[in-house]
Amino acid sequence: MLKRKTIFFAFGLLAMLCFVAACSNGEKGEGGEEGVSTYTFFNASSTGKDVNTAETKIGKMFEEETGVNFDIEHIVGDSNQKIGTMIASGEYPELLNAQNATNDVIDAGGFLPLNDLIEEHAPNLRKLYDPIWEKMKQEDGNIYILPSGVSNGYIKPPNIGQSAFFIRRDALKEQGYPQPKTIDEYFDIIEKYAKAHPTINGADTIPYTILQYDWHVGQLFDPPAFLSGEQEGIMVDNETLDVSVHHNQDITKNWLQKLNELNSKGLLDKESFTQNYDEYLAKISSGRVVGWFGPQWESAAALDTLEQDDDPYNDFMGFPIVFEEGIKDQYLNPESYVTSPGTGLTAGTDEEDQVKIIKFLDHIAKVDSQKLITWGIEGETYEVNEEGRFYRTEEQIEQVSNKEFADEFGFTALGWYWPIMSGTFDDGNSVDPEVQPEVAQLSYDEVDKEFLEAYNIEVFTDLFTEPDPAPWFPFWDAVIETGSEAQLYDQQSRDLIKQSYPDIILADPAKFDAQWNSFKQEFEKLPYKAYEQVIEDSVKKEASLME
Amino acid sequence: MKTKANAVTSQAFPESQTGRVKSFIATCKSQKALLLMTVPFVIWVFVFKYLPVWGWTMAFQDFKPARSFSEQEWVGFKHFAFLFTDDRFLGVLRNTLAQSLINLVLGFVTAIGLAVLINELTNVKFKRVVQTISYLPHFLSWVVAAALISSLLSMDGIINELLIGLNIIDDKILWLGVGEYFWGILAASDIWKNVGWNTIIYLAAISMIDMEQYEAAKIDGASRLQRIKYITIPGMKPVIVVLLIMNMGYIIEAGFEAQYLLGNGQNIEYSENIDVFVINYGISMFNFSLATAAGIFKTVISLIFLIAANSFSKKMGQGGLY
Repeated sequence: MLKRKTIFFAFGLLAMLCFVAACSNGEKGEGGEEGVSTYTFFNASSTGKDVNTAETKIGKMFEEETGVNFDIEHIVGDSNQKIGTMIASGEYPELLNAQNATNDVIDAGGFLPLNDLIEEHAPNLRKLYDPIWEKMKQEDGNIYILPSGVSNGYIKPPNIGQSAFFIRRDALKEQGYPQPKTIDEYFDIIEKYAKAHPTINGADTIPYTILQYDWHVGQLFDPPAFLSGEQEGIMVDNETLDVSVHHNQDITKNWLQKLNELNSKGLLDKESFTQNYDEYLAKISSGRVVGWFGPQWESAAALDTLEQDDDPYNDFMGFPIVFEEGIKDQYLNPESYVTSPGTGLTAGTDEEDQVKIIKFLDHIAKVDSQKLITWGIEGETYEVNEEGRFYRTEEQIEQVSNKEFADEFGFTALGWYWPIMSGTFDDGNSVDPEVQPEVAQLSYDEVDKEFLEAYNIEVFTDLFTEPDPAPWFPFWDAVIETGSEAQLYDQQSRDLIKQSYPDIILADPAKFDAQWNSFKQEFEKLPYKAYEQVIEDSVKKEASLME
Repeated sequence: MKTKANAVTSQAFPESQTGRVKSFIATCKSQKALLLMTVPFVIWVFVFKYLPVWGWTMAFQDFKPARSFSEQEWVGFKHFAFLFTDDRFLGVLRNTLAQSLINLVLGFVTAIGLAVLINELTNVKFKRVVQTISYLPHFLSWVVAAALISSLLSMDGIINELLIGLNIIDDKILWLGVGEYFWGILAASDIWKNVGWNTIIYLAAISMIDMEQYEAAKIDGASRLQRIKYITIPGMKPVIVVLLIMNMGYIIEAGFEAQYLLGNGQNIEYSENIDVFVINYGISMFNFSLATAAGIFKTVISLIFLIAANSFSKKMGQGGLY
């Protein structure tokens, strides 16, 4: 009997020991080598493989210089839930990017004020963030987070990364490279092509589809603004800085009317309002879709598949479509000064560690390091010509586009989400290699060139008008308080629109007006004025800080 | 649960000593091993079921995680008022109850039916295969199941192809795009996923029935159907009643994943239930107070249903849970 008891006891003790050991493993501590500190950076803005920075080439170089490396952890699942748990427990990783929950972490006192730390220990960071230093300050005057992509001079991107009306290249080629300017011209091309090709690769052609799932609502919500020459999915008067939502305005009615017509002609994908994000991506990458609107990045995964297959004509080309001729398109993003989300040091970090981490960030902020995390190593991942212009050879372009290489080199782990510039370096080279004209033009293949020639342009964004400067851009980094009417509007309007727009669009054209009016009535009940006020205040404040 | 077990065992020992207290102590002594075994579960129930009730205070505050309890701002019934005056909430409540009731009724009928059918199989191999296949979907996560279901029901999905092939419908139907179909789709998916699993407990109940009853019935000339009607089903009755009462307590829990994953703008009028509403307007807006208020409301409703079902079953002479 006694013997059995002892064994039980021993087992229990052993189990306890394992548990304790497992816990303490998770604690931060000295890395394998002496004098090297390992911290954790939790990134809720991005998914990906967890990695230690020192396992990458650039990260190793940084470790040698600063004695610091980071375990980068990414979000799995819902970020608000994960961050919510951190807030509730008060336990944070040393560095945190809290995505949408950034303000909640600040409210909860989870981020440390960085002003003094930077002024004292990080001259390079101070310099990097100088253009938005005042704007980064929260209401209490403290800076808690460091956003990525501090603008340093505007450079027009050669390829479309943001919103546009996209159309299958084959349709353009077949119809003699027309250049649609208005929404009617655009839908005409789609209609003609869909009639001529009822099936693509054996499956039914999908003339026009819309993604509307979870937070992916821009494809349905934003076109009225873009078609009217606005810079984002909300109306901002660039002179008076008045802000208004457009869901109850005539431009939205026009847009829905166009979709209603499209649907009555049988050209709108019936699954538009029920498909989820994965189904949408599968649809785009099947090559059966002729046209869609949206930001390029939202569909990037599918577009990459199309680009890599054998058929160069199933790729898409984007156009800046407007309601009527004479409206100036504003699809390209102006020089922007995003201040949230960003990466911040969290409460509970020792003072000694705070200094080490801020010095590491300061090291990244040096111009040489900035070139390292964007362009890489000279002679290895890029070259410099006599005039000091950076370029990449075709092999180098091939090499860096290989995901494994980018992972090993450190382009993936270090780069965006760390302190990083955007736009141009002081020597005139683009920060983002893909935006450098020398690189972009080299990466165009034969068919790309065929289209560039047909439209008589050098890069694909030449079809787009240069953006007007908008110091408030973007509007969506406005702080919307938890529990406020504006926050409630955000959710309620989304729910209402997700429910009503499909009814309006799929309605019998004779009933369109009735459906629209009943939606408008419902919408007028929502506290949209409160939302407009919050955005307007933020826009005005940001504009005044940038003067 | 555990207290019930104790009650049962203490009844097994007849009162041989004078005085109830004495007998109670004696019973405790004689069953100290059993009592000891319940201790972890009592602790578990206390920690996970009773301590969190303290968190109900959140429903009456504008709760902010960073503040300590004394710093929280008390707002009375504000969140309940929001909940009950919101236009959507009535619809949400209707959806919850309807989805739940449909699932409950169909779930019971199909599970009991399948259990009886499986029990009547004589070929053991075939029986095992049927059982395994029918309960396998239970182990699929709803995320996977929802993806399967939405591709089955898509425009090019097999359901449309089949119905058109059989000339039942003329045009393809966007099943998930028609709100009115949602409850049916949900119930069907739920049955497909859980019916096999739910039969297990009924099969166990059937196996408890004395075989001699069947033999006697056979000799008396009862047909198969009569044996099912007069022996199998009455034999299962106590289990059915207990499960029914327990499930009544969950009537307001219509599930969350399926509605969340299969719901979309076009069927939201029928798909959104309390849990989805709480996620959208509570948790993901960091409005924990509203989520708690909804939780309290759910608990109250559950309690009412549970008590009602229990007393109803007692009146029907079936004996309740307590």
